[in-house]
Amino acid sequence: MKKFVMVMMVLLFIFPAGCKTSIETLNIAVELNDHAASAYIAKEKEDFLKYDIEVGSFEQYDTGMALATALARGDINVGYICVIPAIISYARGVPIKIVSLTHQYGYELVSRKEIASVQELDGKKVACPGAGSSANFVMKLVEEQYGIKFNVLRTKPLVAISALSNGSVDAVFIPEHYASILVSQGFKILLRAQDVFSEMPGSCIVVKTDIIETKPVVVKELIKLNIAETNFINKNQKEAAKILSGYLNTDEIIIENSMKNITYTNGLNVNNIQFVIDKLADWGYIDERFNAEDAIWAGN
Amino acid sequence: MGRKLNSLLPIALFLLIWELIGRLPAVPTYLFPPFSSVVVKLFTVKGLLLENIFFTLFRVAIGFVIGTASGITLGLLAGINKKVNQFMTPIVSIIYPIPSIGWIPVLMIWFGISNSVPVIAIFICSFFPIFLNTVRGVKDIDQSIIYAAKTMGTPKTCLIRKIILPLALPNIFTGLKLESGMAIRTGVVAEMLAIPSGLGYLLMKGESLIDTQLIFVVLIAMGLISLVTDYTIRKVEVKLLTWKV
Repeated sequence: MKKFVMVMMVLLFIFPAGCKTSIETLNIAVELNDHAASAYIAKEKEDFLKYDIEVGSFEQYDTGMALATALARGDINVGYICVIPAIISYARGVPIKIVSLTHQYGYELVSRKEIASVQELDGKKVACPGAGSSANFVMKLVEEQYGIKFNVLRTKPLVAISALSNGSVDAVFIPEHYASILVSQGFKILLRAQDVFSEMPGSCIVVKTDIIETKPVVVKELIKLNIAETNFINKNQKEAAKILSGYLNTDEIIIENSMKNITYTNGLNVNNIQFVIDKLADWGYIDERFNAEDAIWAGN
Repeated sequence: MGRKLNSLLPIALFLLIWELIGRLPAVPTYLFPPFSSVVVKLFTVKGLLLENIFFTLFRVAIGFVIGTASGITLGLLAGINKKVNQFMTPIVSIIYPIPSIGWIPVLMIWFGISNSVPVIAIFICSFFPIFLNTVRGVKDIDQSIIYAAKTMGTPKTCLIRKIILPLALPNIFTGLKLESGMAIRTGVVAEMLAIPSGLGYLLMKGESLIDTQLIFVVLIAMGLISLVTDYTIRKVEVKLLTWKV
């Protein structure tokens, strides 16, 4: 018996990361939109603690690229971020891995009502977030697949809204919930991400590799929490919209409509991630191709 | 030869320290790339870089030339004519302290996102210091020279062209040297805010793609452009002000 206790103590000493012994503190960052719904819901319901995760800081960034640079600086160790900036960060050498998806789609081309087709926008002024954003990724795919070229005005989503509203541009490539804000103002969705990329991965959770290596159990709990919150969102969309509207300071109805344009799901499809990697390499956004599996933590 | 070595040595030392820091295992390349990797990047993006340098220089040249020409013209007028000076000085005193980049948001609203925004911002940046330096240059001229020229019956246009303007040139060049670098900086900031071309655009692209090597390439290019511009203005100054030497 004494021997058994001794062995157990030694094992606990050698493999502390493998044992869920205490509450872990994580510094979390999210994008200021409903793509990070599962994080906002978990925060509101104080569910992080139920999964033994203490939130050290919970920061909001207005774009995925801004969040990606925060990850690179090391300010945060968990990010709810769009897949495209996550892949770019990984390709640059930022020590992160994708651990779970939070949604699919959620990026749209919104235009004035008079514009009937995407082709009409050939050569026209279109607002879009900068290279490395998911909206920019969709825009590049549209240009490729439709054989057209936009006159691009590089803006953040909030500026894009006013640019379309005041007639500075003819259309905008924009993520949800900003697209739904524009729809509520009388503009129309001309194209959705799934029209050019049938299973486009939206956002994901990335975790710093030092956390993955030293505290894999915490990361597994984070993934479980994400799945639980995703289920909650899909079953209680009205309640989820109400919670999100508070965090995003946006009308509840707009958020509810926006959430209908997003598929909240957690399954990571390696082929889709590989497609993203290959495209980013083709466009020179990353220096070289790599295997999607390398950027994903499978939980082993 | 010795003098050249003396000025090259600090640069070489600086680049060496940069290289060594960039190669430290504790320093991630994506945050601080070694100098050698920046040089490699320079060769990879040289076409893109040259194209965007052209856009920036084009905007800077237009804004700077218009700003300088109108600054000198109005400055000469204000320096010669008391009434023009009394009218212009209060306006310039209010507007001059406003940083030229502060105008960019309102320019974006007035002119939309177009080349006009950086060009007008550069114009504002160049006009006021050149205007003020020209006025100062005219006012600093020894009045006995002007009096002598007038008594000898020199026509007004000739007086301005042959006496006032050349004598005001040292002050004008002080303004030019000060503002040439500032004009480039203003143009780049305007491009960073929205314009989809130019060195400012490349800086923002580097930031959003976490491509620090690209950012350093652009920063080096900006430094070299400012250096060449300053050198050119100094050379022109020496050539035009031989009488002063």
